[in-house]
Amino acid sequence: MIFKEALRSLKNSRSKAIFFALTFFITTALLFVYFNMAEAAGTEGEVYVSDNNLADIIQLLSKGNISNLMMVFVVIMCSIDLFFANDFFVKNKAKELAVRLICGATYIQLTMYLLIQTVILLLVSIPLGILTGFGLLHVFNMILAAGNTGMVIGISSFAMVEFISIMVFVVFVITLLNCSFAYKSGAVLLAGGNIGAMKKSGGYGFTNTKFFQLILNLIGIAAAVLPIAGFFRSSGGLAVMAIIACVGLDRTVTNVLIPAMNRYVRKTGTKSTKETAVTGFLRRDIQFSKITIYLVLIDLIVLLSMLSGRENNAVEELMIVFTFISISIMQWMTVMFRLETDLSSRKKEYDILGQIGTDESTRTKIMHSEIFRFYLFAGILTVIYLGTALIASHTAQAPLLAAAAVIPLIAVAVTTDLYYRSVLKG
Amino acid sequence: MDTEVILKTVNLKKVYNPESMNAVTALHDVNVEVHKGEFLGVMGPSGSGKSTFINMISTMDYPTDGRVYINNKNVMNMTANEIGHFRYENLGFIFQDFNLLDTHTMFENIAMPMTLAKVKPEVIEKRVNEIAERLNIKQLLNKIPPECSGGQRQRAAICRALINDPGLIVADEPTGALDSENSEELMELFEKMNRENGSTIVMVTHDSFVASFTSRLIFIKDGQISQEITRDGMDQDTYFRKIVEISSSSRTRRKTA
Repeated sequence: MIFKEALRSLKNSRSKAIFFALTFFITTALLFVYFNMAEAAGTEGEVYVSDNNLADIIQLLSKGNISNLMMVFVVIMCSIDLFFANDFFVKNKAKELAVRLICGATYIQLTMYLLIQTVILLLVSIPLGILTGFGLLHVFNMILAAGNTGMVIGISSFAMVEFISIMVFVVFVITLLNCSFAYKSGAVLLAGGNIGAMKKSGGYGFTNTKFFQLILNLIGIAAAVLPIAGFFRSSGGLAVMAIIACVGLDRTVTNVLIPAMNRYVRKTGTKSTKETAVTGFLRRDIQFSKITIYLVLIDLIVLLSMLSGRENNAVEELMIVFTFISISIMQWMTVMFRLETDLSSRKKEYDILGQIGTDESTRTKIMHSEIFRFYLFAGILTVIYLGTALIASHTAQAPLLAAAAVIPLIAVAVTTDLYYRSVLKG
Repeated sequence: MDTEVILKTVNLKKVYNPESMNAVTALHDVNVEVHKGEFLGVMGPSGSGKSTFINMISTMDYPTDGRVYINNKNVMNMTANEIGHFRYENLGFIFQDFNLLDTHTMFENIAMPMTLAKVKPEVIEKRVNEIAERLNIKQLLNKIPPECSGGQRQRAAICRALINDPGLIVADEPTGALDSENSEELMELFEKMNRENGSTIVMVTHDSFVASFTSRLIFIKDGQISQEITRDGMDQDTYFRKIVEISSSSRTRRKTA
């Protein structure tokens, strides 16, 4: 009975299941190809550890062993993306789980209900990902042969062991986390009252003073802006500068941009419902998705730093470029998942707009405008940070990498727009 | 009315964000006893703690301090799996926005508790038909919730709450999403369930008219029980006027500086 119910649930949430499976499919293909390429590139598998951590990390990022960095980096990024994809999938089932809970479902029944759905999707996406990985390796070998590099990427048994271990670990951890999440959040979701509104964070003493906050804001803005100039000074340390820039950017967005948007919303409130609604939604979306956008930028710049300023062999170059493209696709998809996870509460607000007299055509314009502006915000950050880093890197693959960063962004913007349209009109 | 105590709370307390400077005490030292066959109403202004109270007694959330006993069992001591079985055997839930699954038929929604308890299909079929007939929605069993009106959906939700014959029915603003005609019909149904079947009901409401169908009413203000009245043979009109009087005076009462 649980199996039948789980299948039905999967069928009813087809589009979310497809996104979830797609992420696993891409991750599987990426990891499969990556580990075999790393072996072929002749690099070691151990992670380098040093006493003088900061200096060595900076050195490693600019000149170090690629496999050491990329292995940890790729596995962490893939895990984060899989987590968000799973989060998107499971959060949309929260109400279903809550209703089952109040009907007397046990934790085991809920876990089985979720696990069955996850396993079905994995059984489809992982084999397809492996097959695609085989295909990609074949294509890369053709590219290497065409370039007369004399290098070939084979299937390594050691790489397969690494690949399988990582996949098993990631799937196991994510499944556990999500089952736990689903159970904890389930019943309270149906609870009434302003329980959510009561969860507010507090501050302490002098850190709440305006002067202190102003100093922090100025430091944040400087941290967001200065590394852009720093990119041009040296291609080494790109990654560290990217991280500093994003930390500063977060401060700037949270404490300067969003309060400015709040003031704008208050000011336009009586003049334009459309503008108020668009800015209101945009403000919330930026707040909700900013961390994932920063992650995209840091990831891409870290990969770029591995490409530039060192002599990579042909397989390494191919590996980095391939990883860059895959990570770009997956991470813009993660940004999209984050937005779409929020869709159910957005629907209520759109319905309320309708109830207070906003016609459907205006509501549709509000939706398009907000999505466009959100992805424009992400696009501007990508052009400024990644664009300047690409110029500073002097890499021959700059046009390809620029396209790899921007095309997925445009694709997810269009997908989000279509998805919102179908749900909000439904 | 039987004197057996179905629900008891002892020094119930709930604090949200206890570690932060913005800790909110939603309930403090709430002691309530509900006897078998009672129809208890819980009223209070917005933010008074009535939803928090209902979440505590329905096992949907846990108190910071105090105890909740349902059928003499301390629900705080139960494991996650035990709570599932306990809910099926002892509790029925009715919500303001019905909480039916739109992808399931009305039959499947009503049958869900029994399905989860692995009751035989023929038993489920018989029971669902019986209860749907009683609540006059038998003709809707093959429809899905979006195809039914608010009143019909709420009846389906009530069927689901009653399907396993629970000792305690917990209703959180059950008429909140209904028009006045459906609200009155629903309350007459609750009154009938309470009178004829001896169902014990605890209901949160902000509506004085809806509250006038109860047999006892407690008022929660600032997380504590501020007042309690029983119907005690009063006719509905008199009871209603008394409720309105207490509610109005409670709303106009200002806190002293």
